[in-house]
Amino acid sequence: MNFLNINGVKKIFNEGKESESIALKGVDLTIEKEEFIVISGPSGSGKSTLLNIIGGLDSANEGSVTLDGVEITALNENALALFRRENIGFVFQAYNLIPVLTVKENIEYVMRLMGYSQQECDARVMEVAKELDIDAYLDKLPDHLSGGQQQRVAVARAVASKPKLILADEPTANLDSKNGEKLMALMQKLNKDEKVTIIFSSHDPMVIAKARRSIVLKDGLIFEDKVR
Amino acid sequence: MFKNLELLYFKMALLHLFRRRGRSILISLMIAISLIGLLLMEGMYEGMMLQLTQNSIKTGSGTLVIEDKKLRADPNIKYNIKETQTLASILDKEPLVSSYVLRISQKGLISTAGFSQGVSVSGVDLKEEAKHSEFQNYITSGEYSFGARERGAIIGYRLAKKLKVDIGKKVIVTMQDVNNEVVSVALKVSAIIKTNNIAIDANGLLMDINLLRSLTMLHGATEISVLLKNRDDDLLVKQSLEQKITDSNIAVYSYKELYPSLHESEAFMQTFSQISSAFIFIVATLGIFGVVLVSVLERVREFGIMMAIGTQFRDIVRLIIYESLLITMSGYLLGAVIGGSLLWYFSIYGLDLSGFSDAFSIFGMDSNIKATIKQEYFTSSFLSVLFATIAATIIPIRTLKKRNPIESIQERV
Repeated sequence: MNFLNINGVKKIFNEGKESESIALKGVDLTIEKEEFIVISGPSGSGKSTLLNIIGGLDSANEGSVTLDGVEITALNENALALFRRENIGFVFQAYNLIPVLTVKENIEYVMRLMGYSQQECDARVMEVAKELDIDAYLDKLPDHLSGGQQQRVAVARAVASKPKLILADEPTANLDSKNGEKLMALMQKLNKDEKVTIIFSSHDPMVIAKARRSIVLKDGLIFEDKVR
Repeated sequence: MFKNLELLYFKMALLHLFRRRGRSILISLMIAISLIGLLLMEGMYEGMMLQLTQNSIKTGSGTLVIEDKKLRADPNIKYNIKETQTLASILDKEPLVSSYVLRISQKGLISTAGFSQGVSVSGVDLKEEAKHSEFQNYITSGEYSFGARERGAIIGYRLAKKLKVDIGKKVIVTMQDVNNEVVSVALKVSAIIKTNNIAIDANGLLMDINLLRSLTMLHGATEISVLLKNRDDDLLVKQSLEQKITDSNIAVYSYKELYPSLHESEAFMQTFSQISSAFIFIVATLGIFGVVLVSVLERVREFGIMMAIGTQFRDIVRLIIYESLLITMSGYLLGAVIGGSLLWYFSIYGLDLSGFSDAFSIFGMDSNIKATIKQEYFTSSFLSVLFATIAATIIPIRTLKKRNPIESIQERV
C-alpha cells in the first residue's frame, strides 16, 4: 500500500460565486514512504492548495486523500487536528511560530499536546536544537531571532515530535540563498536520518534541484512527475 | 517552563495580556470602575433606605404598634388600651421582641405669647424610650429630661423654629381629655430634637406620660410601640400576638401597614438600583465583548497556526476564555477591593451631605448617609462579571470556528 494516495482531488474557491476559481482540477498522485519530493509550478498552479489538502488544513471539493491508511478527507475538524498532531509536521513560508512562547516552548509544543513527559521533551528539544544549531536561542522569543533562525525553529518544531510526513510550503521563500541552501541540506539530512517523508512546494530552482522527485503542477493538474 | 497544558495555556493567556498591556489595563480599569459604581450605588441606596426605615420605625410607630381598633378611623383618645399589664406580659414572653414602650398620643394646640399651632403630643417615659426610640441621640440642644417636676417638653426643631422658642421658654399646650373637655398645661422647653421623622420634627412634642395621664384622665395608653430584633419578622410576630391577645378591640399593625409609602419607596429604590445595576452590567459586557472580539480577530492567524500543528478547537476556546477571565477577574478584584473599601469607609463615617440636610429631612433621611455592606453585593457582581465574560466570548469563538486552519493562517474569510 502506498504511503500517500491522492485520488481525483478538486478544489474550487468561492464555488458558485462570480469570483469562483478552480485551483485543482482532479489531481491523482501516489507517494511512498521516505520520499523527498518538490512540487513546483508557476504562481496559481495549485502547489500550496495541494499541500494544504494533503495536510488536512483545507478541504477538497471532490476526491480523497489517504495518508498511511487513513482517509483524511473523511475526518472531521477535531479528528483532523489529532491526526495532524501525530502524523504531520508543517513548515510554513512565514515561519508561523507562536509569538508568546520561547523557542524551546515552540519546539516542544506539539510533543506536549501528544502527552510527552517533560524529560522526554527536554531531551528531544536539545537533540533537535543542536542538530539545527539553535540550541543557544532556546530561551529567546521568536521576535528576537533572524528570519533564518526562525525558519530553523519552525523546522525543529515540525520534526521534534517525529511525524511521518513533513509538508513545507515554500520554506526558502523568505530566506537568502545561503540560508536557503542550509535549510535544504538540513531537510535532506532529516529525510535520511529520521526517515521522514518530505514534500516541498517551491519554485526556487535550488530547492527543485535538490529533490529526488519533482512534480510540476500547471493550471491545477500534474504537468510533469520526474524521479531523478 | 510549563508542567502541563493547562499551565501552558494559562501562561500564553497571561503573556498575551502582557503583550497588549495598555489595552489590558484599560479594560481592567473599565470593569473596576463599573464595579465600584455598582457597589457604591447598591450600598448607598440600601443604606439610605435603611436609615429612612429605621428613623420612621424608631421614632415613630415601631416595627409593630398595638392600639385600639377604632383609633385609626377616629383618633379620639377614648379609644385606648386599658389592660396594658396584660399586653405587657404577652410581649415579655415574645422571644423576637427587642423592646416595647407605652405611649399616649393626642392632638393639641401649642401656644406661645405670639404664636400657636397644631401639635402632636406624645406622652412618653423617657427612661423606657432611651432603650427603645433612643430620642436622646437626636437632641440638638437642651437636656434629655422633663426637669425635676416633670413639667418639661421636648419639641421638634422645625416646630421650635416656627414658634421661635428656645430652651427654657414656656409653651402652653391645650388638648381634650377622655371626656372631650378642654385641658391645658404650661411646659418649659427642656430639649429640641432633630429626628428626620418629619412628623416629629415639624409637629412633635414629647411630655411625661404620667403628667399627660393625669391631664387627660386616661389610665392606660393609646399605643404600645414594639421593636423587633429583626424587622423582617414583623408579620410573624404580628400573627403570634394576634393569636395571644384576647381583647377583640385591640389591633396589631406592622410598620408596612402604617407606612405603605415607606414600603413603596423601598421597593422603588430597589427597582431603581436593579435597573442601574443592569445598565452598568450591559455597558461592562459590551466593553468586554469589544475587547475579546478584537483580541481574537487580531490573532486569527496565531490560532490558525496552533490548529494547523494539532491544537484542538476546544483548547483554543479554553485559551480565549482563560484570557478573558484573567482580564475581567483582575478588573473585578481591583473593583471589589476599592469599592469594598469605600463602602466600608462610608458605612462607618457616612457620606456627609449636610449641605442638603433640609432636602433630606423632608424625605425623613439623614444628611449623613451610611452605606450598608452585604456579601451578596460581591457575589452577585462576581456572577455578573463571570456571565458577561463567558457571553462576550461566544461571538468571537463562533467567528473563529467558521474558519478552517489555512483560512485563519492566511486570514482569508
